[in-house]
Amino acid sequence: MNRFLLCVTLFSSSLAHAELPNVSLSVGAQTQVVTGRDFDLVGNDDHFMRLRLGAAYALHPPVGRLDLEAAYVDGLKSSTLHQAMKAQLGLRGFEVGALYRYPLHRHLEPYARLGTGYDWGVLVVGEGRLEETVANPFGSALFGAQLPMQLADRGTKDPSVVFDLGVGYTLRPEYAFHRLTPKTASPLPPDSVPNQAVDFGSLGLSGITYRLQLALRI
Amino acid sequence: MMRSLFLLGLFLAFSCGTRGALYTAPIQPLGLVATSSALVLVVPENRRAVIIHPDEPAPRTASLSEGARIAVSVPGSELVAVLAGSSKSPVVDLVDASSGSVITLPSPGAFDTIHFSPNGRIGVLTYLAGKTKPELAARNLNEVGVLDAETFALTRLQLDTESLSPRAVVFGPSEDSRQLIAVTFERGVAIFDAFRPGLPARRVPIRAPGGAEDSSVLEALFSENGRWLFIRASRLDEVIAVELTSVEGAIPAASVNFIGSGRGLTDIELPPPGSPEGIIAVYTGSQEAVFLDATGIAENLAQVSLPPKVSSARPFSGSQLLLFAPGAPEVVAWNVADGRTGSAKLEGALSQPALFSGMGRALFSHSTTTPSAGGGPALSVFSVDDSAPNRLRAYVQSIQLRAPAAAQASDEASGTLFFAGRDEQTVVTLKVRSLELSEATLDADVAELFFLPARGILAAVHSTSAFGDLTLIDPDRFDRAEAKRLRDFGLSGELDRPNPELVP
Repeated sequence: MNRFLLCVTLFSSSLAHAELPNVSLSVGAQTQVVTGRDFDLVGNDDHFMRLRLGAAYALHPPVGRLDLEAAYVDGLKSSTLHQAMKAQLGLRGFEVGALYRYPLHRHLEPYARLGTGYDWGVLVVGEGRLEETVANPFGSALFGAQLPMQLADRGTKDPSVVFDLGVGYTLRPEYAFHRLTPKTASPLPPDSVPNQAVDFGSLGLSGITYRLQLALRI
Repeated sequence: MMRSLFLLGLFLAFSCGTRGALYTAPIQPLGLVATSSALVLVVPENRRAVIIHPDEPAPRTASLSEGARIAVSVPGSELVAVLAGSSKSPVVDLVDASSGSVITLPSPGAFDTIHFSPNGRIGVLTYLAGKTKPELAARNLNEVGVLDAETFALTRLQLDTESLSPRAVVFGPSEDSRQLIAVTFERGVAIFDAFRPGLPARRVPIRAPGGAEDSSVLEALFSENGRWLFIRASRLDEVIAVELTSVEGAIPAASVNFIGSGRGLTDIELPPPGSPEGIIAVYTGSQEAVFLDATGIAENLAQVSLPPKVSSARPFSGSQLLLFAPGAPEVVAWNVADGRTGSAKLEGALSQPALFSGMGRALFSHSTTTPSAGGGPALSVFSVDDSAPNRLRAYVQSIQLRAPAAAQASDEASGTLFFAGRDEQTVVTLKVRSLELSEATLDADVAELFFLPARGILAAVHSTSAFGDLTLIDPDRFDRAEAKRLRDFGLSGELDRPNPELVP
């Protein structure tokens, strides 16, 4: 009971002293470094860059800022397999997170972020000769800095453009591609011989993550 | 702060990484190998064997040594022997298709091929003269490897012949205390006991009597009791009968006889089981087949005149031999025990027959037939009625085909022949006894057929993909809905391959 009353008191206090909440919209690139050799199936290098579209809602605790983020992330990596066909991995999903930033300077706000989400990995070999979609949750932790640049100089409530650079780690369970089957653009005739799945094995996608994005904070 | 950001950027830039070699090289799997219950595809570039069991949901994989170059199934077992390793560190991988386990044996040489005895107990590894290895400055082609598939012992044996390279490996009858093996070379034969590879081989050089020129060994056969080795050689119309006399603690001694008086020796074949010691010789010059006494004491034990061009003999049914000529239409059945014969002229040139000895049937495939038979491809079913006391009555029944039979497999136990025409998607089942036909059309052209007797499943291999493409179907039901197609199964386990930079 006492803890509950304490939380209510603090929250009421923050509301009493807070400025109007900030909303930010962001676009950027989120890249994961995957060093496992199995990733060479789809990559000529170890970087898996994906587009990130996000939105955040800022809370104003007594110290710093707490951004509640949500984002859609999507990317594709492909390469040639055994000089014969293309192998492609699409990874798209949603993530939510909480980012705590501290306004160290007018143009510098270091932050720490924790996030979680859900990804769909689509492995396609030979443009549909074999394909499978596997979904997994993930978790991530980032440290970085935001550099806000106000568009006008009339006060702290003015809109600003924010450069965001963060580095951390994303932890994912292995993507088990155990049932790749042919996928064709048009439906197969009803009496086609059924296809049996091919087991490709498991792909590890955990690794160092860094993001570079541009946000509009209003 | 800026310095830290710069260093961080450098770290990220230099951690780009490059693509390793796991997925960059083209892959060329070795041909499919069948055991009684599974199919095995060896992918040398990926160091992997893909094992297909018809009743499992997906193919399994087994890791192999690098440099796999040939895969051979071991008769009477679920093992597949793979010659692998480098020229300096050769190995033999024995893959158990039922469990997926692999036993790796160091090999005494980087051999090119392996031959197994009919019971699968002994394997003989030899070189092929035409398969040079640029990384080796020299090779002794007179050395062989002897593999005991029960004890997994692999032993080197030096044959010390005067010839350059082996041509064929011939296995004697399976005995409790010995397994005689003859390795033929161009100028002779080397005989050894696989159960005692430490004993020096017995060398038998071949030379025509009174002739200065050497003869090359064309064919060799052990007699049913292992007492004789019969050899057919070039420039010789006589059959060379090598009598093997047991010697305590050593390889049998060999004494050489030249037997037979016909002209144009083209084939030798063992007589029917239970016959006295002898050999069947086929002569195209004197147009006869002769049952020769191995000792040379009796002139001929039996003899039959043949039509022109008949040049080959095969055991047929009971005491009967089948005599025919690839490329000619005549077929003769000869009962060696009582001398009765029967012959027929088929409607087209012959290929090598598919024999169903237990049912007394021989099937010949024709690409074209005579105009009276329609002119197109056909399958001739040859059989013999031996109820008449003084002759054999030969029967020929014809199965018309849409395309020449290109892929073929058989199940001797049930008397069934499976085949598919050239560029055809249809697989046909022929019950040899009743000549009942059934067929199923698959989704791609059939290039090769395998029958897995332990599972009763037919595997039709398609040539649409270098990574493997086949259909598994039950030939008793031929239901497409219950069949299974496996495409690109050679890519199984692609994500679970060991990193070549870490694996020795």
